[in-house]
Amino acid sequence: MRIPIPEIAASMTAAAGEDVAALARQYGPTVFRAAWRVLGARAASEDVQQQVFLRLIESPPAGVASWPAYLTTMATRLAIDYLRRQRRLRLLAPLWKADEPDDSPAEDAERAEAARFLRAALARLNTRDASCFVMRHLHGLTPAAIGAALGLSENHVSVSVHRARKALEAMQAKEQSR
Amino acid sequence: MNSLDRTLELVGGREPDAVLVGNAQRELEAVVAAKLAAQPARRPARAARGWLAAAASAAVAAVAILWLPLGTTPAFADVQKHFRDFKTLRFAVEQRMNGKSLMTARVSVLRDGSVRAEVGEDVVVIVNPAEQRVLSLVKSARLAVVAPFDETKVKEDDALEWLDDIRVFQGAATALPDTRIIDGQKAHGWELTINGGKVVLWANDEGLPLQMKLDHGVAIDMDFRFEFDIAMPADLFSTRIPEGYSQGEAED
Repeated sequence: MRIPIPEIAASMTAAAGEDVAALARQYGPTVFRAAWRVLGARAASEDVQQQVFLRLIESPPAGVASWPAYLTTMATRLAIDYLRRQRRLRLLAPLWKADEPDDSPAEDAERAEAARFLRAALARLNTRDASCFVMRHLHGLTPAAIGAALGLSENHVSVSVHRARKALEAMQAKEQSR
Repeated sequence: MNSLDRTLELVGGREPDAVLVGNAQRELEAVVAAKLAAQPARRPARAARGWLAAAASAAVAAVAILWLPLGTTPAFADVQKHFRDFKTLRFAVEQRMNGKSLMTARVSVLRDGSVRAEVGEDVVVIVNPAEQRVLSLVKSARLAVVAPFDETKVKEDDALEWLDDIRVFQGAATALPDTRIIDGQKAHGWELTINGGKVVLWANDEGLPLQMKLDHGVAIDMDFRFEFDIAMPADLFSTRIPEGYSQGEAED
C-alpha cells in the first residue's frame, strides 16, 4: 500500500519527538548526575538537565555516535557555563546567595570548603580545560573517551587536563597562602 | 597527597541522593512532554510542505547542476588551516538572545595576539602584548583607561576561546548538503559539536571561512562574519591615549 507523502512526513516528525522523550527517559538520570557532580545543587542541576533535552528538541544534532557521551559532554559544558555566570553575578553582587549547594549545611566543613573551592576555581578556567578536567576527574572518563566526545586528540585532552590541574594547584596555593 | 588530590578525593565520587535524581527525572519528563505537546499542530503540514519543496528543489538542482562548472569542495582541514595561519583576522560578531540582538562587536586580531575590539558604538578595547598594556576607551565620555597586560586575566574570560577550539578540533565535521552564497561567494557548510555547543561554519571553495554561528543551546547564539589577511595599520593596535581623552583609573 502506498502511504501518502504528508503522512510519511508527519510520522517522521513524530518519531523525532518520540526519540527525545525516549532519550530523556533513558539518559535523564545520567545527565542530572553529570550536572550535579559539577554544581552540587539540586535546582541548578535540574536547570541544566532540562536545558540539555529542550535543546535536543529545538536543535537535533546529526550523527551522534554515543548518546551518553554526547549528553554528558553537553551537561558538563552547560554546568561550567552556569558556574561562570554565577561567578560574574557574585562579582557584581558579593552578597548574592541564591541556590546554595546541597552539601553546605550538613556536610563536614572540609568537604564543603573543598567543593566551594573547586567550583569557584573551575569557573575561572578556560572552558575546554575545565570540561576535560571535570570529565576526567569527576566523571571518571578516559582521555580517549573525552577526546571522542569533545572532538580532540587524546594527547590534547591530556595537555588540557594537565594545564587545568596546574592552574587549579596554583589557585589553591594562592588561596592557602592568604 | 597534595591539596588538589585531597580536594578531588573529597568532592569526586559523590553522587546525588536517589530521591533528588527521581524528582528531577519526573520534572524533566513533564517538561519534555509539555514542550513536545506545545510543538505546533501545523508541524506535519509544514513538514509536508518542506518534503514537497525539498523534492522540487532536488529536481531543480538536478537540472541546474548540469549547467554549473564543477567546483571543488574544500576539506574542513583547509578551513582550520586559515584559522591557524592567518596574519590578520577581522570579524563582526552579533550576539542574540531568542533572536533579539544583544550586542554587536567588530574585532581585529593580529598573529602576535594583539586585539582591537569595538563593542557597540561606544567602547573600544585594545590588547597589545608587545606594549604590555590594555587600553579601554569610552567614546561618549572621552574617557581612556590604561591597565597593565595580564595574560592570566585576559585568558580567564577569553572571548577568543572559540578560535582555539576550532584550531585544535579533531572530531567529525559534518558537511552540510547545501551550499549558500555569502558575499557573492559560493559557500560550503560544516556542522560540528565543540564542548557541547553547536558550531555551523561556512567557507568558500578555497576553504576560506566566511561565516559562523555558535549555538550553546541557552537561548544565546552568536553570528560571525570573517575577513582574513586584510591590511591593518599598526596604529589600530596602539595603546597610546588618543588626543582629547582624559585618563581614568583602572580597576583591579
